[in-house]
Amino acid sequence: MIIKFIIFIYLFLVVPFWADAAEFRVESDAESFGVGEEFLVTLVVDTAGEAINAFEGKVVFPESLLELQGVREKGSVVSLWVQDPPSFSGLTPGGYSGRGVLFSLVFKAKAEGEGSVAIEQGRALLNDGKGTEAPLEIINYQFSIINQSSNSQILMTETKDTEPPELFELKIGQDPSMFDGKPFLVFATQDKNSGIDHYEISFLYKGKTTDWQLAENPFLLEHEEDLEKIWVKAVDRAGNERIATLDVRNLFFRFLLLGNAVILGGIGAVFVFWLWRRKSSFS
Amino acid sequence: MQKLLYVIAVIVFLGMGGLFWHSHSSAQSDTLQTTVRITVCGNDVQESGEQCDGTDLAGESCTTQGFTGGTLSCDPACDFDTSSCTSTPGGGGGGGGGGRVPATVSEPATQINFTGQASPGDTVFLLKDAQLAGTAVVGPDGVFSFSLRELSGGSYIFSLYSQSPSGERSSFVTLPVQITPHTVTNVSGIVFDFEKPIDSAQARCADPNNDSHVDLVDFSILLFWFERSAVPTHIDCNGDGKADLVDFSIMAYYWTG
Repeated sequence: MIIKFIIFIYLFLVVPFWADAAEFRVESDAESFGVGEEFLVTLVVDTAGEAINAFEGKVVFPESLLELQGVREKGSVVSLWVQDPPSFSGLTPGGYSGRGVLFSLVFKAKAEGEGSVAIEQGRALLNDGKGTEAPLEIINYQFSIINQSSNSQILMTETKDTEPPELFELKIGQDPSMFDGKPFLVFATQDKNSGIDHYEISFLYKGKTTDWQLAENPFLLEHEEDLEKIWVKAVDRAGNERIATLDVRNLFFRFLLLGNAVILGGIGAVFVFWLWRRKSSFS
Repeated sequence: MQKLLYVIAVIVFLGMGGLFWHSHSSAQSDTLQTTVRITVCGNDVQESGEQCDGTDLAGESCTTQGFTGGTLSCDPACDFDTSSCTSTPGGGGGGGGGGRVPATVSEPATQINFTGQASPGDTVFLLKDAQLAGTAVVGPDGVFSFSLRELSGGSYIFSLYSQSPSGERSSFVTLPVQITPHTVTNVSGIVFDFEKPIDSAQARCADPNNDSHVDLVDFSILLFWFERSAVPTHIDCNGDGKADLVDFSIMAYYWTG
């Protein structure tokens, strides 16, 4: 009798509670592929009605069976990547609520066998200002690779990405805890189809342009006293480019004006104070 | 033995009840019931707020529009185009055919419009994928609107929040939207909730460069310290000695773009 009572409580209270947990689900359109075939595996989040603003985890897979060909961020609900997949950390400022894609991975089947694409150390944090961990259920993806064509119709069929990355802006930051307090450049953008592959940077120093070099955000600015212009090129995984420009001369000119205004204001205040004291001493 | 089972049953019952209550109460405190309507001009389906959409004329024709004949069509803004409708002049007289000038069909721009309501004088901020895309001051009628162009087709996260002149901020209204090229997407019915709990110490920590904006510069400062040792205290919001996902989550909550 008591056992039945416990089972009753378990079914009607514990199971509904589980159903409220957010979910990371690794999925694909088929379960079986032939050796040499490419297929897409997608990580989907279902927030179970909660607003989630941070996602984290690590994708693990048997490297003897699968070769990772690439990452796709098309349709991702993540706006800012701290770490790019397959070991991922990403943010959605303001929080995301619903069922959406985090990212997809393109795999090539290498050898016969069975295995799973799994998420380890998965975390989803609530948009509550405290970083509270949401209850999370992880559902991994089981697959098998056979030594013949899978006859599957869902293998990789990607349309060519001809769109450049999104427009973006460059900003200069400064913090005493970083780069010995020197100014640094910040930048980030998205590509709605193939995703961002890398960034490159070039400078105009005293009328001379430097070669493009690979860059990561944040980027330390050196010899800023001679710096005139900065270009950052965002390149997507299909090779499309978008360039953002920052004219540093205008920026430093504004700083100069602001600096002069502060100095002149200070001198003016001292002069007014001196006049007031002088007037007081005469009266 | 039976007594022990009774005790276990009561503990399980109370424990599960507590969990059930906790999960539902926390969900209630975080949920704002709003009805945001998203319509797409260019998808050949006439929706609320549109007179027509492509070939969908909502059963209307030139005659229902007050003309005597001709062909009614839909313009790129999803309004009726009556330029090819005809009216028979009163008093008879046969009309001579007349060469119809072929209408120039311009491909509509990819665009998204937002409309909603907030307190007059408040400022509404629109973020596109976490970066500030526009601000609008709410008019005396309590209505605000935004229009964004130069978008690629794809999936976007748009977020909006409202700020009162005294600096009080609402919670975000976050809208994942799939943009189709050469269509106009209309989002309406946006309202804001000002019941957002604020911890002033955490809010300060989320803005390490202290410029009153929690944006990409702050994100980049935290990113620099991600998984490094000797993290400065002004960056480590939860004080665990690490710059990790919890600190990023706190920053994302106070994000301003």
